[in-house]
Order: sequence, then C-alpha cells, then structure tokens
Amino acid sequence: MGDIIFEDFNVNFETRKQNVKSVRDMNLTIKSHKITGIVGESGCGKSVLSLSILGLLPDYAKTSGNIYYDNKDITALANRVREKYLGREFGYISQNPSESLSPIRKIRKQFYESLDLVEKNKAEIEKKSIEILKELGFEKPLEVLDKYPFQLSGGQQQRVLTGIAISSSPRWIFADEPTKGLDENIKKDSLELFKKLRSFGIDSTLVITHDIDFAKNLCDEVMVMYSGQIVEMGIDVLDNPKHPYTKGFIESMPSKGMKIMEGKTLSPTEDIRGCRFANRCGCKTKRCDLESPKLYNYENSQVRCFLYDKGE
Amino acid sequence: MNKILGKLSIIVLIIILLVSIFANIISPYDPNFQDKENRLSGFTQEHKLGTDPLGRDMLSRVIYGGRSSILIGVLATLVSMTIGSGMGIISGYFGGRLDKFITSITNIFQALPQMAFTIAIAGVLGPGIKNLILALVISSWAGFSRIVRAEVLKVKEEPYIEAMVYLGSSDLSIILFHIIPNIMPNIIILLTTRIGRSLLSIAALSFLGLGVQPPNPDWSVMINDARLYYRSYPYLIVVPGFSIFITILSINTLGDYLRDIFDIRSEEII
Amino acid sequence: MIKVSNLDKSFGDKKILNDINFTLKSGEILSIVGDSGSGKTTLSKIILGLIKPDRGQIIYEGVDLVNLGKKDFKKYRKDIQIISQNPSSFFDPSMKLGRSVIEPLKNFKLKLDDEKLKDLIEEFKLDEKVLARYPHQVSGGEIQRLSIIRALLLEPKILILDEPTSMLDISVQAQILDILKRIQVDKNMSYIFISHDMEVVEIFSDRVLNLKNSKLI
Repeated sequence: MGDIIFEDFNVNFETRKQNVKSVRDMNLTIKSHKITGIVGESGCGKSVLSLSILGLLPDYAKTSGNIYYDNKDITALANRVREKYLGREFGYISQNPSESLSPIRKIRKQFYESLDLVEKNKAEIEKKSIEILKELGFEKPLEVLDKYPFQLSGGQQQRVLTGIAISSSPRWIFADEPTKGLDENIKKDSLELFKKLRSFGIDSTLVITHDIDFAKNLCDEVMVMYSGQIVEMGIDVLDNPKHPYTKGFIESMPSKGMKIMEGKTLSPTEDIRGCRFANRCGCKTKRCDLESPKLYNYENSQVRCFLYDKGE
Repeated sequence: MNKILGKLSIIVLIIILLVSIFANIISPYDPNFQDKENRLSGFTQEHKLGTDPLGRDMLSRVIYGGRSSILIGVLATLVSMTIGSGMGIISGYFGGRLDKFITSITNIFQALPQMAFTIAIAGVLGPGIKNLILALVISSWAGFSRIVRAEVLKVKEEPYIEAMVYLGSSDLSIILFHIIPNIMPNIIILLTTRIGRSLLSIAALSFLGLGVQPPNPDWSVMINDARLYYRSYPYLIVVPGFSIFITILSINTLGDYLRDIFDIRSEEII
Repeated sequence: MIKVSNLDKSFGDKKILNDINFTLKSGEILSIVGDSGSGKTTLSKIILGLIKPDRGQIIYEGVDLVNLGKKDFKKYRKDIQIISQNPSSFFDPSMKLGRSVIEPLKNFKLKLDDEKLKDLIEEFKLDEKVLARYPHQVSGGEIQRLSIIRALLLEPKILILDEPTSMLDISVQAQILDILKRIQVDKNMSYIFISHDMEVVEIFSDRVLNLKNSKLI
C-alpha cells in the first residue's frame, strides 16, 4: 500500500516541429515509507516524472502507460477527482519557494487555503500551523503567520512552504530541487528540514535533485536518471556507483576533482536503437550501439548497463 | 478557437481591403449616380441592397464606403505611432530631464478626454481629410508615447542591454538593434487596436459633419444621411453600420490573435 | 595588470563595498569569494565601468579607469570583459545567436576572422548549428559557451568570471572550467573568478580573496 508504480509510462511533448520524449518506457516502483531521491542533470526528465505523478503536466504533454497508487490507476482519473484525491494524499514543495507563495497574502491565509480540504475551523488551523512552524524551528510562529512572504528569507520561505505542504498530513511529500539556488549554509538547514519530516508522521518522500551530496545524506534509496530513463537505482548508488554515467557524474563534482565527462546528452528528440549513454561512454562495446540495455541486478543495485548483464 | 477567429479576421480584412481597392471594378453603379425612379427601393433585382433617399445604389456606396475611412484611419494611426514611439523611446531610453519634459507633455495630452479633444481640434481646423488626420494624430500620439516608454523602460533593465555597453555598442545601435526589435511585437499589437479606435473616431466625426464630407460615399456619411429615414427604412442604417462593425471587430480580433502569436516565442518547452 | 585601491561604494545608506584593495597580476586566476549580498557583482560592475564608485582607483595600464569619461573609456573597454552567471539573459532574445556573437566585433571595428570563430566553436565542442538558433532554443551549457566565445573574439586581456557555472550542471561545469583554464594558459590571460563555491575555487584559481562584510580579508 502507498507505493507509486509506473507501468510502461511515457511522456512526450509534441510541438509542430519536434517530439520531445521526456520520460521513456518507465517501469518503476517508488516505495512508500522511504525517502527516495531521483538524481539527474537538467533535461533528464526527473521533474517531468514527478509532475506526472501529481497530475501537473501542461496540457500539451502526452502520456501513455499507467501510474498506480493504492491499486488505482491515477492517470485514468478525471482531473477534478484526481486533484481532490491527490490533494489529501500528496504534498508538493516546488522548486522556487519565493514564487510558490502568493506574494500578496499573509502566511496565515496561505495555511487556511491549503487546509481547506481537511479542516474548516480557523482556530484549529491556527493552532495546528503554529505547532508545525514551531517544530520547523520558528521561535515566534505567531509573528510568522502575520508576515508576507517577502518579509522572510529564502530559507524561511522554504520552511514555511514545507509547513504548508505537511499541514494537511499527506502520506507523500514531493520536493522538486529543494536546494537549487540556496547558499551553502541554508542547504544544511534544508537537509535537516527534510530529515525532520519523519517526526511529523510523513515517512514517504520523493526528492528530485541534481545535488549529489544532498541526495547522499538524505535518501534511503537513490535513482539516477539520464535522458528519460533510470540508469541506476539502489541504496548505495552514490557511494558505490556502477553505471559509467553515475561514475562520471560523481567524478565531475569539485570535491572529487572535477574530472571531465566528455560529450553531450543525447537530445530527447532523438530515438536510437542502442544505449542512450553510449556516445559518451568509455566502456562502449559493439553491443551498446545495437541493443538497448535493461536494468540488471548487481549486488544491491539495478544498473542499466551491459557490463552488469550476467545473462540471466 | 482564438486561432480560427484570428485567421478568419485576417481573411475578412483582406476581403475588405480588396473590395475597397477594386471598388470601381466591383461596384454595379457609380456610387453617386441617382436613380430618381427608384428612391428608397428596398432590396430589388437591380439594387441588391436597395437605394437611399436620393436613389443612389446602397451596395455600390457600401463598397466605396470603406475607402476613405480605412485610408485615413491607417494613415493617421501610422503617423501617431511614429511620432509617439519616437518620443517614447527617447524619453524611456535616455531618461533624466528629457524624459521629464516629454512625459509632462504627454501627460497634458492624455489628461484631455480623447473623443472630446478630437472633436474640438477637428472643429477648430474645420472639415476635410487633411484636418481629420491632423486631429486624430494630435489627440492620439501621446497614448503611444506612454506605452512605448513603459516598454522601453522594461527592456532597458534587461541584462543584455547592459551587456551591450561593455561589448561596445553605441546608444543608437542599442536602440535600433536591441530595443526596437524587442518592443516591436507590442507596438504592432497596439497599432492594430489603435487603428480600430481611429476608425471609430472617424465614423463619429463624420457623423457629426466634421470628417468625410457628403456626397463622398462613406459608411459614416451614409449613417448620417440615413438619420431622417431610418425608422421606416432601417436598412439605410443597418447596412453601413454593419460594415463598420465587421471591420472594427476584425481588426480587434486580429490584435488579440497577434498577441497570442507573439506570446508563443516566449513560451518554453519543459 | 590591474590595481584596485581604496574602493568604496554605497547604495543609499547601505555600504556595499568598503575599502577594497587588490592587485591582479598578469596571467593569474584570482578568485574573489563571498556570500550572496557581499558585493561581488557590484565590484565587477565597477571594474567594467558600468557604475562609478564613491571613492577609490582602478589603475589599468597606468590610467585610472574611474575618472575616465565615456569616450576615453572606450579604448579600454574591449580589454576587460565579463562572463556572467546567467548568460541566457545576456543575449538579445530576438536575435539569432550567430549575429549576437559577432556583433561586438563591429562595435569595436574589428574584422571577423572566420577561422578563429570556427576554431573556438570546435574548441568548445559546439555544433555550428547553434549559431542559427535563438537564445531560448539552446541549453544553458551551450549559451554559456557562446557567451565565452563572444568575449574571447574581442581578445580581452582580463576576463571577469562572475559565477559562470553556478546555474549549470556539475558535469557541464567541469567541461567549461576546463576549457577556460586551457585558454587562460594558452593566451596568458588574467581572470577574476567570482564564486561562492570554495571547492571549485580551490581547484581553479591561483589566489583567493575573501569578500566579507563588504571588506576583503
């Protein structure tokens, strides 16, 4: 119960000139009661994947395949039903806290709005929001409620946004690039914040990020995404990378010496027969051009690379 | 939906333009020919849209009737756009005292209610096409100036304009190659809506006897001519009124459509 | 190469820069680090001559740039260029990238050397097709490479790198910093590298200045 299961799921963005395939043949289970991280670089499809769970894709996105949640195919639900249903079950913390909070409303109002589905009594809401804000480290929560977003710092805004997301006690929290554009010291607070979610009874979290250190310190399970596909997933992917892309990606970190991974990601408009990383890969063989690798089990990971195909 | 309407409006406007240009070929009669036997004939074989109190063929007059209005409207709007945009660009780009000076002048012009202002100028200058254009330009350039100035202020703050400074561009080339192309979409949208408004003003002024003069066949003149008879012969007012209505509606729809087209460029995938 | 002394700048009551002193030697990469709001961007704008400081000198080739008028400054403008952190907003959205890249050459009445442009495009591992695109049609990494090419065509002596990779993926960051370093060595240029990422700074630069509370330490 509570797992999110993708079955042959695809997302295309069709324009007059081209067909951008953002998510390709996704077969995946994101387990509940865990903090899962989807790690990847811009354009790999990680945000599109999370938006498709939430039903927030733009109208011109075309999807095929299914996403199951609690044995229900949520892609088959009508928009209104889905919104209502998912509003209770899923909380979303978007990329840019300052843009996701309404600039002309006090924080108090924004709490009311988000709790509208579950709680009508304003005194109750106020009590609850004060409790949450206190837990999140605000010393004077009552004062925060009476402030406008611009009166808060970036880190505070993120905490408020998180508070609003968890106030309706969802089962899942989705966070899109929570550390993007934050200063180094605020990043640390952000990590603490996400670790704290468990104490609010929310133990299923999906974090989308490009920040390897952040994912490594936070997540129970990490999935690495590249060019619309999961290339590697497991519990110690970032400590013990196996896929050539994951290795290259980690080695390009400044703390690992900024080694260069040559080449450019295949365009999402391009379809090829073989492995989508082959054009940049140092371990490329003939097979990589001819055949598309599946996810192979290796130690405690699953890796999309023929190096780990033991011919099962 | 907007797309279909937008394309439809372009087709309609092209038809109106072609009809006006080739009026002498299309129209069945001379617009000023008086068929004395068939006055106020109603819709007949010979006169498809009937005749007016002097026996002139309504269809021919409607075909000719767009000519002067459209020409005057487009010309006047283009002139006020040029003057207004020039002023707006200068005042927005250079700022300072020049900006204050130009802004106060535009404020004075803007403070006067436009219709009354146009009528007053047209009244002082007297009737006639040249004066009509002059009146329209004087009363409407300030609107362009204000909007263009605001657009320039917005674009001027963009980092790529600042970048051109250390990349060595002169003020003139910044204005010509970077400011104008980036505010052009908005100017064009503004232009279409303003042409619509000018046509309306021309119709009103002509109706008041300050614009196009009879016996010139013009939609607004036709409406004016029909004042005494329209209760018994409503088609006298409906036919030219409908022509004005369709033209202005199409122009405004086109403006909306252009806004959508120009928006697409800023829309990004993913 | 360039000597900055006693630089002060305030906006209103807020002191952004307070008595900044440093010298950039020829052929070195000097890093200036500091948190957001410590005045890094203001400092680079002053060196570029976009804003005037309240006090202080910037000596370049024996001339104090601060006191130069617009016309006299033009002579030195080409020598000092900047790469910013958000290159897509530094290209005119209505102009094709190819035209944007060569436009500054015309401004300084320099001839376009097709070979040189081709070499740079190759060196930066770009596809020539990007020149025919508009800024919103290319990736962040590509447009950053183009903005560096645009600056390098002018053959500047000093390049200010204002967090040039903070918006980019780390694998792209590694690629771009690598090319920048190679070019710096090849052409014996001087870089001022502005950053908040200490790890990158340590790998990339020769010397580090820390800008804190609007002072260098």
